[in-house]
Amino acid sequence: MNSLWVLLWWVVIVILGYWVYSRHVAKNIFEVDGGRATPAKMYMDGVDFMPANKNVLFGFQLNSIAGAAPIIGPIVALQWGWLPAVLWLGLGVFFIGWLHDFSSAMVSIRNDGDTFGALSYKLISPRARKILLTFVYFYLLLIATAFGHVITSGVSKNSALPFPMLVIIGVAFLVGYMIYKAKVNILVTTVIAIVLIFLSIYLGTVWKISLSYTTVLICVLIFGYFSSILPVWQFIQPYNYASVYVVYFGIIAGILGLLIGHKPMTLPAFTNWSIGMGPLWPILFLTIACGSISGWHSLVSSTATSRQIENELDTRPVTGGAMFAEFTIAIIAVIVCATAFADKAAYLKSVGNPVGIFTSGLGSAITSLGLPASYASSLAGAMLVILALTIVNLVFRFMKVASAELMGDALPIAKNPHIATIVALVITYILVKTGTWLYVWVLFGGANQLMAALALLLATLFLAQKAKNYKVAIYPMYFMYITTVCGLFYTAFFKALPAAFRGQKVFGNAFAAAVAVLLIICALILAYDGIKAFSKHKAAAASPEAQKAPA
Amino acid sequence: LSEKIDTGGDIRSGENRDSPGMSSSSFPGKTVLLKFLRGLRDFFRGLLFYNIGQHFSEQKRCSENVFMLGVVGPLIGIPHLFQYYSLRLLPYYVRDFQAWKKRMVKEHDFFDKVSD
Repeated sequence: MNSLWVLLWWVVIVILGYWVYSRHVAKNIFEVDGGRATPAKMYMDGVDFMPANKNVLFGFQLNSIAGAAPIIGPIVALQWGWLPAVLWLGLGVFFIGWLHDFSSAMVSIRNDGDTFGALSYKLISPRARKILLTFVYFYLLLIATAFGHVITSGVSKNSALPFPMLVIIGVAFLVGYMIYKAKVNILVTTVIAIVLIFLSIYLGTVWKISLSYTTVLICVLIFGYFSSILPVWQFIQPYNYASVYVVYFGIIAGILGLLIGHKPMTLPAFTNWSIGMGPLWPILFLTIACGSISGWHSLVSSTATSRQIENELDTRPVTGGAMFAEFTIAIIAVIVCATAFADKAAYLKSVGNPVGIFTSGLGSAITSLGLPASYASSLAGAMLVILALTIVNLVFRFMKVASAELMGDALPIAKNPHIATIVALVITYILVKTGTWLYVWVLFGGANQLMAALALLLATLFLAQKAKNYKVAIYPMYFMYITTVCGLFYTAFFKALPAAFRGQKVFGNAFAAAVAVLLIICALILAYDGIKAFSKHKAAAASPEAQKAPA
Repeated sequence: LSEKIDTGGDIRSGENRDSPGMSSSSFPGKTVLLKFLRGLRDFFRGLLFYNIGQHFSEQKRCSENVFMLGVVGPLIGIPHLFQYYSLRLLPYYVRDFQAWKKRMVKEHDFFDKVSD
C-alpha cells in the first residue's frame, strides 16, 4: 500500500477534527467568547501573565509539547502493524487529544489562570493535588528511564553518533555564553551553532567512536546532573535552542523525502491482536501517548499558555492546533518506519533500539532528497538522540522540584537540589540497567494517560458546574481512565511480576510492578474523589440559585 | 539584548499590526500572502525565541523582587534580615550597649587624640 494513503487519512482527520469538530465544541459547548477578558489581560505582570500573539503562542506550545515521545511511541506500536497505530493516532487526536489540551487551557482561563494543581485542589479534592504530583513524579522517573535507554542504546550501537553528541553539548555551552554573557548577536550565534552541529554530524561519519552501554549511560546521567544544577541559561536553554534547528530540519527533510519518494508501506498493516508486550487493548493506547493524547500537555496548557492567551478565540488554534501538529509528527514517524524495512523480521530485530529503527526510516526518506546515505542516517539518529536528551535534561530538573514539593515537608533533605537530583539519577540508573525497557515504556504511558484522565475529569467537572453538555469530556475520560488502569494492571501482574518471579531482571521488573500498583491505587482514590466532586458540582448546577444566576 | 531578540512589544503586542503597505494591494492576494508570512514569522519566533525572552523577563523580575524586598519588605511583614539578627543578638550586647552608644554619639575632638 502506498504511504500517500496514510497522508490522506492525516488530511481527513485534520480537516474534520480541527475545522469542524473542534470548532463546534469550542463554540457551542465551551462557548468561547472573544469579548471576555482573559487572565493575561486581567492580571498582566509582564512575565507570567502577558498577552501574546496567537502565532507566537502556537510556536511556543508546539515547542513545549512535541519531543521524542510522538516519534518513539508509534515506532514501538508498529509491532501490532501500522494500521492500529495510524487509526489510534487519528481517532485519539480527533476525539480526545485536542479536546484535552484545549479544555485544560479553557478551564484554567475561566479560573483566573490557576495551575493544574490548584484546579485539582479546588474542583476535585485537596488530596487530588498530591495525587497529581505523584503521577507527575513517576511520569518523570519513567520518562527518564525510558529515554535514558533510548539515548544509551542509540549512541552505543551507532559509532557515528558519539562525536556529534559531544560537539552539540559543547555548542550548547558556547551558545549560552555567546547569547547571555558575550552579548553576541543572536543571528550570528545561531549561524555558528548550526554550522558546527551539521559539520559535526558529517565528521561523526568519519571519526567513529565506539562506547559501551554503561559508559554512555553514565555520561547521560552526568549531563542530567549538570542540567539540573546549572542555571537554565548556561546549558538547558541554549541546548534546546541549538538543537531545535536539527530537529525541524530533520522533520522537514523527512516530509519532503516522503512526498518525493512516496514509498510503499513494507511492514504489515496488522500483525496480531496480542504481541510480546500484551494485547492491542489496552497496551497500544498506553504505548502511543504523545501524538494522540498526552497528559503532560495539560500541564503546559494550564500553566504557561492559559496565562498568555490574549483572546479566548485564540485558545483553539493555539492548543488544538499544536496538538494536530504533533499528530502530524507522529504520522510521519509511522510512515518513515513502516516504509523502511523489507519485512517484519527486520523491524523486530531492532525493536529495543528505537533510534536504530528511526535512523533507518528517516535516513532512507532523507536519502530520497539526494543526501549521501551515511550522512542522512547519521542526521536522523542525531535528531532523535538530541530530542531524547532534551527531555532527559529537563526531567531531572523537574524531578528535583517535584520531590521537594512531594516529600519536602516530611523529609527536609529532599529539598536539597543536589541530593534530590542524585537520588533521581541513581534510581534512573538502576531502572535503566535492571528494567525491561518495553514495560517501562508502557508504564510511562500509563502515568501520562492518568494525568490525561485527570485533566478530562477537570474538564467534565467544569462543564457540569456550568450546566453545559459534559458528555463531550466524560466519555473520553472514561475511556482513558479504564484503558489506563487496565493497562497498568496487565503490565504489573501479567508481565513485570511474572518476569521477576522467573528471575528475569528481578529488581527492575519488581520495581516497575510496584510503581504500577502505586499508580493504580492513586487512580482509584482519584476516581472516588472524582465521583463525589461530580455529584456535588452537578447538584450545585441544578439548584434553583444556580439556575437563577446568569451563565 | 532582550530588545534585539524581540521579546518585548513586537511578539506580545497582539495580532492586529497591519503594515502600511497592506491596504494598497499591488497584486491579488497580496494581503493574504502578507498575513500568512507575518503569521509564519510569529510562529518561528514562538518556536525559537519565546523561551529565551521569557527567561530574560523572569531574570528582570527576580532582580526587581530583591530590590522591592529590601525597600518595602517590612511593609508586607518580611523584616530586614539585619533587624532580625539584631534582636537575636540582643542578650549578648545589651550589657555593653550604653557604653557603645556613648562612644558613638559623643563629640570627638582634637583633645581625644592628644594623649596618643
